[in-house]
Parts: sequence; structure tokens; C-alpha cells
Amino acid sequence: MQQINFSKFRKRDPAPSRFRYKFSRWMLSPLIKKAVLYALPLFIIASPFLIYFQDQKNKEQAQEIAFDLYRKIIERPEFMLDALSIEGASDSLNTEIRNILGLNFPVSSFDLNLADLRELVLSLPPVEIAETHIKGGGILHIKVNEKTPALLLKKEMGFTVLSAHGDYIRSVSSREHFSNLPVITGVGAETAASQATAILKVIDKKLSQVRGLVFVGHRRWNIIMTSGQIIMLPENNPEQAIQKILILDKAEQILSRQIAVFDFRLPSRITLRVPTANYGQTNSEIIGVRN
Amino acid sequence: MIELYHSQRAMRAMRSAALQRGVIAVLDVGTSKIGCLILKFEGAENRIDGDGVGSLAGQSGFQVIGSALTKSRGIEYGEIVSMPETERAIRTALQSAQKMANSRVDHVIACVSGGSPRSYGLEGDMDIKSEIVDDKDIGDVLGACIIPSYEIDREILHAQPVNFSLDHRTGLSDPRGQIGKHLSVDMHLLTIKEKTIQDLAYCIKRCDLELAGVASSSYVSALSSLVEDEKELGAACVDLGGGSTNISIFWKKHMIFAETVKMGGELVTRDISMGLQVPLSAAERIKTRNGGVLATGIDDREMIEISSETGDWELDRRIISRSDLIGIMRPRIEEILEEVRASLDNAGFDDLPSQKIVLTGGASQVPGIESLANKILGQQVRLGRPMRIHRLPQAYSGPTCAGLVGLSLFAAHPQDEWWDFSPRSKNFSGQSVSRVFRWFKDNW
Repeated sequence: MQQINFSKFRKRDPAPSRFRYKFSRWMLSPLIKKAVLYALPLFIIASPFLIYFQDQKNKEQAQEIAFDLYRKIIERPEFMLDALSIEGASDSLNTEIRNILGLNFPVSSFDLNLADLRELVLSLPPVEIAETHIKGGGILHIKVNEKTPALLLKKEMGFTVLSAHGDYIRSVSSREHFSNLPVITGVGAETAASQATAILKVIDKKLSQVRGLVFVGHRRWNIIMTSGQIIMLPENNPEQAIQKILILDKAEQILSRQIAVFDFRLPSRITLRVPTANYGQTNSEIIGVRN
Repeated sequence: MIELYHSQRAMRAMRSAALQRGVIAVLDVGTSKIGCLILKFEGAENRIDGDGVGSLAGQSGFQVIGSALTKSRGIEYGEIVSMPETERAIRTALQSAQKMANSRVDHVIACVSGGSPRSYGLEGDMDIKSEIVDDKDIGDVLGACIIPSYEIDREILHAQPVNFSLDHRTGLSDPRGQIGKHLSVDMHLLTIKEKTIQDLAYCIKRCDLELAGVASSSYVSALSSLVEDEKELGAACVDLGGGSTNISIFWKKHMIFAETVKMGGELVTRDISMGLQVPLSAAERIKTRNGGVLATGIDDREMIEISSETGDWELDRRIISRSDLIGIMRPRIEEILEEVRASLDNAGFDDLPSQKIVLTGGASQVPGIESLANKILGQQVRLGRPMRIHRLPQAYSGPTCAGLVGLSLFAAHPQDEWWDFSPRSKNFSGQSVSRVFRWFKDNW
């Protein structure tokens, strides 16, 4: 059996000194414990990097390397776009879209933000709906729905093409390309374009020789015939008034008579006005002036 | 210097603050060893079953996360004789326990074994004003107890209400909410020498710790060693420690008596050291390895080599039989047990319905002490080990650490004491309010 030298144990005091005791307690206090456990290793790991990047030259160099690497990756042929295909746009709109996007192909798909492109395309007035996506084979595909031209708004200078709901599509100087569209005019006519569309839909070629619609007093429409006759429609329910005219015309051929103004503003009290001596000229003055 | 009685309530607050933080240390400063456990308290959600007590007798709310046991220094017979030495020993224990727990503790609950505790039975009674007994009435009746005149150098360590009587109904443990007119209380008061507790408090303060409670060592070792039935029916717990033997008597789940006999295992070691002429450390080793109290025929043939380092070969290489060793140890242990018997007799232990005696503490590990105790103390003697607490290391599960484990239980669920109730203030009554009101009326 091995001898145990008891005197050996006497030599060192096993008790920690006051300072060591306090220090160990301090080290065990929650904040210090966490700092030593997490913050210190983190700092040690991070400090070489921090020291290295203190130097502006090193920093720029590292940034350059990182940027090169980034470009190298995003400019791989797999990510490049070579062409733009546009679906559902007329030729003029096609050119407009290409101009507004201003893309120089080939371009990396990482450099493009499809949502931004879509916003850009949507900012063109004739575009109603636009979708952008990337097709396989490096093609940026844009699908648009054009607004359908439905009305031609006559302005003091030239014309404006409107959609059925009165959305602005484009301005034109003459009726040349849009001779099939009905003409409307009057102050604030574009705001009531939906109503005009509805009226025109009821008329629907049953009334021949309609020259156009005039919006009067921000509230109601006049129909102007090619003969210079005026049909004044009421503010409420103009469609019903038109039906009444059509019935009257069918029964009495009222429109082919020598009457200058058909006043339907009060549906219960239809008023007809016979032309004055200067037939036609007077009426052209009346248009849009009186309601 | 702390004034124990006045700081008891503050210590209770400190204890609950520590529980809020979740970590508290218990420190058993003994004559032969200093033990420290660091307890971590969890919420009550760890209770497994929903019935009243819960698993592990409701003690499952905490676990031991750090423990240290170190040789005690500067303490004799449970009292501090050298403050710096004791402080160092406490520091050693606490530092290694903290290291193991990997957390810092600021609050410590300690127990004192020395200081010659003295028990008093107190009685107090009063008529209660409201029909239903409430907290204030308890406080009042505790305040109505007649305090015995104890020496000026003593302090109250424990003051536990033991039994309440309400209108001739006795044996109530908690009369709150009951209806009656006359409430009386039996209280157990334990005083110890002021100096002992102040020395300990000073040592703990020097270690940058806050004292969150003190308990009598007799009380806490009984807490861990007695089972519920024994506490209920009446039993004595004898903690045979190194420097002192702590006796406590429990009845109806309350301690009714505590005392300390200033004799312990270290006296046995000294006897061996003197008898065999070996150093104390060698004597301690022989005692723990080969000690016993009952000599049988085989012990004559069992030889023990005694090794010491005096340089004298004849002296260093001796062989004694185990019977010789028993012959040295037995008289001393008999003496200790007889002292215990005498003090139990003083306390009137014979009058209790149950005469159970539980031996615990380091010296209870001597082989054969059970049958020796049978002869001296009575037939119903058993060896007690502390109950298990969660995550207690195996090395601490022996009877040596009964005090430590009991202190943990005490830290978790202290019994209500005198200072947990506040009596109704006598200065503030309806009359004085009306007087203030009248004064205002007269002067404004």
C-alpha cells in the first residue's frame, strides 16, 4: 500500500485568496459570463479582419475583388438575356415600349428588376395590363393588353383617343386613323366618357347620321346629327330618352322632319323647336352654348 | 454585527428575493467539514401530480446545481474560534460550488450547530375580536406569548408556533378561517448564544454574501432524516456530528425541543490518536476504515497496520487488532450516547407516544452503533439517511450530509415563524383617527 504523506497537504492553502475569490465571483456574474462566452471570441475572430480593413487600399481592393466575382457570376451565359419579345402590342406601342425600357442586349437578368420594368411599361398610356417574365433561352417576355380606342374627344387643337371608360390613350392631330370612332366634345367630356359609351351603345347605328355627342354643362349630353339637328338628352337615364326617340322616329319619322331641336331634357314633356330662318347656322351656334 | 431577532424578517425577504432570482446557496458550517450546495429553483410547473403534496414530498421544485465539501478550519465544537480560518474554508467551499454551478450566488442560508441552543415552551392566549381567525389574530396571539427571561447574550434563533387551540379544541396546525372566541398558542422558542451567530454572519459577510436565513443544525438534520410519520407521531433525531451532537425532538410535525451535546466524532479520533500514539489524520483514517463499537471473536484476529512517520521503526510499524480499536472507540461513543439519553430524559422524551430515535450524522456510520444505541437509547433506533433531493450528488447522499440536505429543504419550504406574522398595530385605531379629525376641525 502506498504511503500517503499527510504533511504534503499542509503546504499549500487550498483556500482561494480574497482577490481570487472576488475575481471568480465577478467572472461568474451574468453579464461578464456572457461577455466572455460570446463577445470575446467574436472579437478575437473579428479583430484581424477589422485591422486589415482599416487600410483604405485594402478595403478598395477587397471590394473590387468582390465586385469582379459578382459580375463574373451574374454575367454567366445562363443568366444573360438576349432579346425582348413583346406580345399583344401594336407596332407603334411596340416601339414605344422598346424606347421607354431602353435595354441594351445582352443584359444580365440580375441587373433587371421585372417589377420595375412592368411599372415602366404600365406608365405608357395605351397599356392596360402588362406582364413581364423571363423565358427560357434568354428572352425577356413582355405581355401587354392595349386599351381599345372607343371614343374620339375633340379638343380645341386636335383630338384625343379615349378608351370606353375615358382613359387617355393618345393624342392625334386628325381623325385620319380613327375615322370609325364616334366623336364627343364639350367641357369635361372625358369624365363622363362611360355615359357617352352607354349612349352610343343604345344608338348603335339605329340613328344614322350622328355627328357626335356634346357634353353640356358638365351634366348631360346632346346628340348632334349631320343635318344639324340637336337631340337634347336628360341628365338621368338618357338611354330611355333615346329609346323614345327611336320609337317616335319609327312611328312618325320625326327625325326627317324640319325640326331643329328635340328637347328631351324633361322626358315627360318633350319639346320640339322649329328652325329659325337661318337654319343650320343658328344651331351650330347653339351647340354647347345653351343647355 | 447583526441583531438576529430584528433581521429575521429582513432575511425572509432576502430569501424570497433569492428565490425570485432562482439561485440560493445553503452552507453547513460544521466542526469537521464545511458543505455548500447551490440550489436552483424552478417554478411550480415542474410538479408532476396535482394532489396536495406533489412528487418527492413537494421538494421537487428545486435542484442542486453546485456542491462542495471541504475540510473545516477554525471551528471547534460547532463554534468559530478562528475567524480568518473559517472565512477561508467558507471561501473554498463556495468557490468550488460556484464553479460547479457555473453561476454566482449572492444569498446564503446557513445553519449553526454550536452556541448551546436552549429550548423554551411558550404559551400565549387571547380573545379574538372578530369571529373568524385571521392572520392578524395569529400575529396577536403570538405576540401575547410570555417571553421567558433568557440571558442577555442569547438571541432567538427559532420561534415556531407548534400548536393552536381554539375554544378547547386543540391540535390545530392552522386555525385561520375557523370560528371561535378564545385562541391560544404553544410556541417553541430556541435561543442560542449571540456571539456564535454573529461570528458566522460576519464570516459570511466577509465572503460578499448576504445571509438569507439561519437555522439550527438540530432542526435541519431532523428535517431531512425523519420521515413524515415519525415527525407526526414523535421522534428524536440525533445528529452525531464531528464536534457536537445535535438532538431534536419532533412531535406533530413540529420541533418541540432541540439541544446540543458538545461531544462528537472528533473526540473519538482524539482518543484513538492518544491511545495509539498516531497523528490525528492517521487516527481519523483508522477510525473510518476499521472502526466499530461491537467486538466479536473475529475482531481479535483482524489485524490493523498502523503507519506513522516518526522515524522510529518500532513505533511506525505496529499492528493492533480491531478489538483494541473498538476498545478505544466504544467507551467514548457510549459516553456520547449516554449524554444524549440524559438530555432526552431532560426533555421528557419518554412521555411522547412514540419513542423512535433516528441516528444520523457522520458518526452514525460506525458499524454496530445501532445495536449499541439500542442498549442505551431504547429499542426503536434506526439509522437515518437524508431524503433525496433532485440532482444531489451521490457523495452527498450519506448521513454525513443530513444537515446540508435538511438546510436545502428549509430553504425551499421554511416553517412559519414568529416574525412571519405581524401583530395588529396598537397605536393606530379608529379613536386616534377621530382625534386627528377633531384637531383639524378645531384649528382650521
